[in-house]
Amino acid sequence: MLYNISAVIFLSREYFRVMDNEIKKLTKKYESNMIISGRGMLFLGLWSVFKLVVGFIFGADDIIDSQLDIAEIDEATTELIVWIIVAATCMVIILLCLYIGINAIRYGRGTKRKKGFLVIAAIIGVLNIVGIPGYFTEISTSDWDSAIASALVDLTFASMSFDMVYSAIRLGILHKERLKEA
Amino acid sequence: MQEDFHYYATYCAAILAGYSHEESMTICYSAQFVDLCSKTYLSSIKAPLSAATTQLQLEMMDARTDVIGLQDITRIWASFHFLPRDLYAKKKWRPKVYMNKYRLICGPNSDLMIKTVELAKDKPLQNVGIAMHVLADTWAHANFAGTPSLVINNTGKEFYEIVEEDGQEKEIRIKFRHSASAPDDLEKRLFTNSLFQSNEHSIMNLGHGRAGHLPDYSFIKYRYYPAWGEYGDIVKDNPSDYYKAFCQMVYAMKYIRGKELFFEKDKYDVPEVAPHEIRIREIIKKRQTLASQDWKSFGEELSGKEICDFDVNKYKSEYLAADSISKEDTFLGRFTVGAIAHKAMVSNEIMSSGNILAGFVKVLIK
Amino acid sequence: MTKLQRVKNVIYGLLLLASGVILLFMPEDAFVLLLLLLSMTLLISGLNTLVYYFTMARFMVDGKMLLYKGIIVFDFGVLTASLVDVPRQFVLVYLIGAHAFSGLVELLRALEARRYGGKNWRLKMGHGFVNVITCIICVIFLNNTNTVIIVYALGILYSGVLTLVSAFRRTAFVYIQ
Repeated sequence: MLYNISAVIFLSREYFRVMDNEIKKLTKKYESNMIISGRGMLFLGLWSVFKLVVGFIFGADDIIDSQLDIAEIDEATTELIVWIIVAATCMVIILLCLYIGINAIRYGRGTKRKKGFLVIAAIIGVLNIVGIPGYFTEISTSDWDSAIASALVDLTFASMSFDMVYSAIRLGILHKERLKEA
Repeated sequence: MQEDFHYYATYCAAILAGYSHEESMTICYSAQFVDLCSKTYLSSIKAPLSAATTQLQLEMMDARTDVIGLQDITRIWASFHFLPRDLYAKKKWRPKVYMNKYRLICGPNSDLMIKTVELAKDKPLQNVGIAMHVLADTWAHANFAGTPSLVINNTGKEFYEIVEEDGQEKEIRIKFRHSASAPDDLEKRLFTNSLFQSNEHSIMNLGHGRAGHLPDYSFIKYRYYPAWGEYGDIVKDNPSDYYKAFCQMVYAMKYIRGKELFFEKDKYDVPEVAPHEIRIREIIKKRQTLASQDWKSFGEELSGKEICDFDVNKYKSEYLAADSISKEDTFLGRFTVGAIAHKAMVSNEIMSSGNILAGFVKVLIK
Repeated sequence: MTKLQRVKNVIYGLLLLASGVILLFMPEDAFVLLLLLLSMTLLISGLNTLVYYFTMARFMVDGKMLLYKGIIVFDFGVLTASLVDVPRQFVLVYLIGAHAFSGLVELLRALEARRYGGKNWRLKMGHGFVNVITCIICVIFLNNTNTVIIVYALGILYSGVLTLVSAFRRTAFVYIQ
């Protein structure tokens, strides 16, 4: 009987050691996911702003001309208003991506536990998915490549956001499991 | 591993295995020469380039990373410095292109290691030296592969040195920099490693570059995350591994001399080494980048003879002076023959396992 | 090398040679071609990275960065193709940098080969000098796009020749006694 009890204790210890190792590996994996998604969010945010600015610089005249038809104000004012809107959009994108990205990195490193940024990340993810069909309505044959590339970027943005949310949920579960075993 | 182990420690192991001073010098010279026998050197002595056992830094920078270039690199490094642990390893849900690289991960006590030692039996002492170099490197370079591969040879950013303080183990973070000229600072734990390169076939992703010289320092025990480890960490206990490597070298050389019937995995000639265990562990655990002086002193005590310093050009004139018929009877001639034979054996085994990373080897048995 | 690999290398080498020749003999239209080449390179690089991620890098620790890198590079390729003007300095600086680096490596290799008494050090040294002189010419004529295009064309021709040569190299032959 003593032998059986010893065997059970040994096997249980082995089981918990293996489970503990598994939990460590998964924790490391999801923390790394958070950090990478956070960095990715920063890069993609900057890239989106860059594309927006470059696209606007090379297509500014078309945009301003199209607005001139609608609004009954002079060209200079229209140009100013359009530039302000573009600048404001860029600021919003940068700030949002910075907020989410930096918080995700901190969460992955364990220096932050508040999850408020995940709500915004989830909203952005949903908005990106919803906006994808918009690229493919009323486009000419020559614009298909740009549409596909833009859709791909938005899809990546969305998957990054959802990956962040999922990793945070998993980290919470793993943390509870570790506390239970301790 | 470095000159301290390949040259001086191999000499000590050869003496303990029963070789004479002169024989041990031949063995340890050959073991160290594996790290210097490059195509540049071979072309300078007009020796066959297929006998190259290493590649110099500039050769590597200039190496083409097309299919043939990669196969050439893999043949050299996987054969002499990163002998694969398991050519038939299995992993679920991995494509063949990934598994080809995964199966080249180096590790001790492999089937290939048995074949390496058996190949050296009844052959010139140069073959023994080559086998000992390969054996020693399977311990030091474990968990890295001898082929340029980001997905295998990359590591996570976190490296921790495990030190003992007041009977307990403590982890201290290791810092890396990318300055080739600055020496490693052991006190500040500041080491040099290779730059991250996202190209799968970049030369920077060959071997243990991402871990710097840590695998080659016998004193250090450290923890890190290998790229292939699925976020699991590895604790690399160099003091323990180097001691096992030393014992296994003694056992292997006794087998080659005929003092042991078989050469088996996971067997170490500890009784032969036991009287010197404390001394050897002291040398291994001493915090220094190169332990040549300590190993040399130990070796000279064991044999009572002086161990001359390694000179890469020692046997050059002998080889150059020999005519084409008698070249193979010179020291370097025997070394090149042994190197070609070993490379062919390993490349053939890799090819037979269905892995084309070392290229196609046509073998003629004469 | 398998037969398929040889055929692929031959096709790639011939394409490079053709591109180099077109660049040499049609410099007026070459700039548009250059943009197209740059865009194609980025697109292919981006796609390569994505394929690499899905076949290999997703099993690697922190491999996801490559997925994001692939997407950005692919998107950059699309952006390049759709732009009317690309900053010419970008192309010029890249060419000069690449030539300078390869020239320096050749010179260092030549010096090492000479130290060990190797045979081909003169050839390597000549090659290194040519590369370095090419960079100097590029810097002198930095504002002359046509000169840079000729240099780029020669680089493509050189790569094409080397690719064809490697396609016909013999496979390793080793014997055991």
